[in-house]
Amino acid sequence: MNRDTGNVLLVLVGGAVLRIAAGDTYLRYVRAGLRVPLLLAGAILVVLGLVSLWRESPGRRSGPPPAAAGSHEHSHGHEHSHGSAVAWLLLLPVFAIFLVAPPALGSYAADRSTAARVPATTSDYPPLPPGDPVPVRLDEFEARAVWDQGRTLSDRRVTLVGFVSNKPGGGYYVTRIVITCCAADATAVRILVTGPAAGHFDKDTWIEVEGSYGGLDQSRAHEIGPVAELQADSVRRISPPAEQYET
Amino acid sequence: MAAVTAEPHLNAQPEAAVQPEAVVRAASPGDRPRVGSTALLAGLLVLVLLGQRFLVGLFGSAAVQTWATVFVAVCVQALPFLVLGVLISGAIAAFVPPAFFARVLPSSPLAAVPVAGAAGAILPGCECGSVPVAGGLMARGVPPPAALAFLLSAPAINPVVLVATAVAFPGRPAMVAARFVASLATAVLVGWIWARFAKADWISRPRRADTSGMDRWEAFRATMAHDFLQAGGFLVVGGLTAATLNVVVPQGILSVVAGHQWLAIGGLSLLAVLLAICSEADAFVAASLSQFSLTARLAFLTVGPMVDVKLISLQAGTFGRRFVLRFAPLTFVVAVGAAVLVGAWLL
Repeated sequence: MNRDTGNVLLVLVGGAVLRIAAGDTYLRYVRAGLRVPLLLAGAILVVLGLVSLWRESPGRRSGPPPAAAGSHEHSHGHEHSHGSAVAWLLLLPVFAIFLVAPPALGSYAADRSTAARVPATTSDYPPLPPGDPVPVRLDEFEARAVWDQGRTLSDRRVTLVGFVSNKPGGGYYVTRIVITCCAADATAVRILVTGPAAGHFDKDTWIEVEGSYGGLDQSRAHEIGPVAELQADSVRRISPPAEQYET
Repeated sequence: MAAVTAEPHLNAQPEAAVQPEAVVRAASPGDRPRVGSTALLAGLLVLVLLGQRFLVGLFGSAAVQTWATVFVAVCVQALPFLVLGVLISGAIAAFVPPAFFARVLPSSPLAAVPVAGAAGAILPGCECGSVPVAGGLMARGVPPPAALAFLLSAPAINPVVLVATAVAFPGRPAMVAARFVASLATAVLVGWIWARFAKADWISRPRRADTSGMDRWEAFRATMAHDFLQAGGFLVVGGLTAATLNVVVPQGILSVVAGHQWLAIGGLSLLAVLLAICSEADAFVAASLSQFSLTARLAFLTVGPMVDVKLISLQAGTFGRRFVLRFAPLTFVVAVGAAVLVGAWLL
């Protein structure tokens, strides 16, 4: 790979990062806090690539710096070509972002996630904020149910938002993917939706469930731990939120 | 009849023998006319754009989509750290005179090794950058054991990597401390062992980067671009491997390995060698391996910046094969041992 090609690659990678960080697409891959670092990194790469293309353009190559660049390449032949071959791989994430733009993780990843979740705090759950029904994050609902015996959930109606993943043997969970940093560290939080109002939905359908806490489902405890239940009063289909992960 | 049919066969052999020679000649640097890489890049872009429908079709199944999402995620989240790393390493390569490091080192190897190891903390960069820097230090008269201690510690204990580790393990400052202690201990121990037992001819003269004809800003820009392209390529290798492991390996098998303490430590140490993830990003991968014990993940973080497939090839290119055949296994064993001891102590 010559220097021009490398510099074009810098611009392509920087442009791909700027593109996903400018909209909401980056939220499919990383947590929201990384937006500013991504914008900065993308801008630096684009500027670096453009300046390098200009500084190393044929018109400027007759001066002293290109001579130095030439001797660099000679003294370094092996290492240089080694790095260059690997640099081609940078095209893969660029293509993936511009052409495919892979979607946020859904029920397939959730079904594979069998790690038992441990919440950040396991004590001191204050009462839920006022509201009827009150919107609650899935991981918070799970923590209050599993680690606080559902004390702060009794007699309250809540709204949960997530996508549908199937329970083996019938029924479904309202589910969210929880990430710490990026989609590579994803775990799933599931709440079992029960009651006559639960109905049937295709997996990966985004739903908003209104209902009240219905105890713990232990039927897959050996596999994924106890699962909190929500007695549904109503379930309605919604469009997916911009930020699909809980972070 | 038999002789007639045999004849073409006999003729074919010399022809086949000539062919490889021609290939070698065509690939030799003396021959100018060949397909330029810029043309190759343009061709690839056109091909991919024309084949978009087909390519997108390949990503129809949920498994492949999940793979692609994890792959892009690993690359995207590591990128700001990589850019910060090459920004700082480029600035140091351009604006800090290499003689500075030789001047501040004690002359006795026994004392120089820990000083050089600790100096790694103030020279941020990822492991790909520290190999040429260590070669440059040796060429300027720094004793090889000290330069090697620096080579090992710099990618593991510099502020960029430690901050990344703290971010990846929120609420676990012990992980940052353990990584620092285990990595520095490994670097110093390997340096001392090398000073005591190594023979001089195990290291071939390192070839150094030459930016002498450039002014400082040019050297800064050129180093940054070169380092990013090289490290970025290896980051993609790590992303591909991590995504594949994430999707292909059944979670059950990982949890069998994870459930056994020694198997987990050995397994993750080997994984660190195979994944070859940049030290600025490996903490995030370690954080995602949540079914493994913290000690096993510490071994992953200690081994990864010091021994991995891309470092082995980089070191073989810079210091020679005789060097890497001895240095890599020694470092691996010391790093795993240090991680186990420090893990028992701090985690």
